[in-house]
Amino acid sequence: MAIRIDQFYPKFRARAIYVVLGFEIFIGLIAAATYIVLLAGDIGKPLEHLTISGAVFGFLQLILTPFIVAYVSEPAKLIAEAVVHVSQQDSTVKPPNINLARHERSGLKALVQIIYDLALGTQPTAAPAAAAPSAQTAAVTAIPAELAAQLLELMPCGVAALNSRREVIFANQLAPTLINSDQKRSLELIFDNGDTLENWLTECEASKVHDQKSWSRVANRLPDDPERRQYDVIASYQKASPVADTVLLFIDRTSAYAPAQENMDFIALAAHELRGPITVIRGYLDILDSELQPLLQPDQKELIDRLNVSANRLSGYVNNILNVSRYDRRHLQLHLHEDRIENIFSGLIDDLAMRARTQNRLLSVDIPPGLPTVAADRASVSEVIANLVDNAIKYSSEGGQIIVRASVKGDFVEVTVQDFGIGIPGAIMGNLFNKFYRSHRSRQSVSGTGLGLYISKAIIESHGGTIWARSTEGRGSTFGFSLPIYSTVADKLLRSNSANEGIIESSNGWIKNHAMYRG
Amino acid sequence: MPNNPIKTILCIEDDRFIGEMYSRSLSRAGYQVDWIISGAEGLQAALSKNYDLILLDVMLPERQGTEILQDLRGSGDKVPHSRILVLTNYDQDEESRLAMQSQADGYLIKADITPRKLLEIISQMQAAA
Repeated sequence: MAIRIDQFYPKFRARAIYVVLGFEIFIGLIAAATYIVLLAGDIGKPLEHLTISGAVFGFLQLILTPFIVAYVSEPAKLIAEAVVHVSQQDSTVKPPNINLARHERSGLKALVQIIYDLALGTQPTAAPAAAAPSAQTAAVTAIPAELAAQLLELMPCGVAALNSRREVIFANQLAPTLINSDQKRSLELIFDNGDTLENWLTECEASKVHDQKSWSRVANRLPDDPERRQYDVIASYQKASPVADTVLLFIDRTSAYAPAQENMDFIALAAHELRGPITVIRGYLDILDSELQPLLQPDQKELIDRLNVSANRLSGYVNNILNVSRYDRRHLQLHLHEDRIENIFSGLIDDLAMRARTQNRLLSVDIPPGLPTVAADRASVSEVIANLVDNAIKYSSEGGQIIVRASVKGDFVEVTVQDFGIGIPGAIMGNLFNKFYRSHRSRQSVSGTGLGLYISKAIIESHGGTIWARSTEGRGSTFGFSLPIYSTVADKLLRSNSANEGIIESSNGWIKNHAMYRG
Repeated sequence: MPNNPIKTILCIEDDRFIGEMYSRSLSRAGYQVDWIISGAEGLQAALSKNYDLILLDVMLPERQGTEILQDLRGSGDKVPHSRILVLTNYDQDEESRLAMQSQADGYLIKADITPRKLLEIISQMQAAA
């Protein structure tokens, strides 16, 4: 990891002082040693020897210290100050004062000037004292504009430059740009979530003078577009630059990222293989359960329930993995329909109740009747609820209570799952919804993939809702999500969903509703 | 769409455990079930007998379920008497899922449903008809 200059600089200053002090102590020690040697050779005159050695080394120190300061400490300090200054990382460090005659003579002024020139990207001014190296650099950079443009076209990667209004003022052939209807050129890039170039530039304009950032796997088109390319993008920002505020570099990594696509197909195949045995386990358990019911002792029924719960959880994990893989490929497609939270729950409650019961948790569901309908993909929302209840079970203790509630919040219906378990330390709250994130503690004691909350967030946000967590360590946690009330989004859905009329979504599949079809 | 009551069921499924599982629970529930392993033979059976319901797996030897569906419903409905329920564990991409939507009467992930749930769905299909 790169060391930040503002961290390095104070350490550097401290060490410089130690070096000078160390040198002084070193001379002092040699003086003392000399005195002892003189004393050992001639016991009679201790005071005289002290005077002689003291005088000699005191003189030495007096002569050498200014040299060390002038030729080592001061140039190092000024160069460090210059570097800190151009890096703009620490505003408390003063810019170096190099306007003294001795700095000009020693060439230090020219050296510091080169640092500024290199940092600001301007042509080095040929200072007389350091004429040779500067002149050479100038010769290399002073290429005619036409040649420069040709060279940029020949580069094996895309290059684009934006001005302070974020307009494209230059782009070579390989840069992913398109011409808009108003004949203006603009970048053609699809960024993930909030991590966009626009957002970064807004942040830069507000608080940075100079900054750099890179993104990987940024596509120019949607999946399945034959023209789709995937780029690594590197951006550099320089406030009020006379040339261009933002310079972008695009490295086409389409072929390198293509095998990832095959991996995804591998995930679909692997899931298919896993689902076979899961189907058999769940199916035969279901058959055994109904056929053996009259014969089983209560403790044996409990064992069958545990098998059922485990098989259902396994099936849930496979669905989570598939959903994550679809979401990461931006293939997660939801089919939103008008639905009631209580109906979604009624298809789920038996399984949830069994999960809670077999693990000795008390699950209570408090969903008031008559809540407005929501726009929801039933299978996906069921997975989110199962994930949240599973978490509540995992992170609470035997006999603990888990409360599911639903209520109206503005244009949304909010569902919350509350437990009274171990809670979540404040420090890790920010990571909860990250992929593969599992708290240190849970890694040791609780099983799981670390995908549940990640995919839950993706599913809820794809519905246009939000998901959140609130927790007091040691007192328990509440997770909640909101789904838009159907009437607030009905217009939009009817337009895009008309092809799906008359379909009843069931688990991850669908069944045509024949009655609706005829009607 | 057929609206006859469901009595006879053809199950085209190559996994022996899963095939036996559906046969067993469906026969116990009173349906008359034929279970066929290969896709080619399954297609023959579907065309030669008027089943009320066809349970169709996708990943099959000899002939894929998607091809069988295409043969049965692709150009004109060759099995107007039958309802077709696709049962698969393979996660189709959106495109093939939509393609099936125009030809099949239902599409279910096997791992998500138990035999009891399947019985429920079958009686729902009858009720809707």
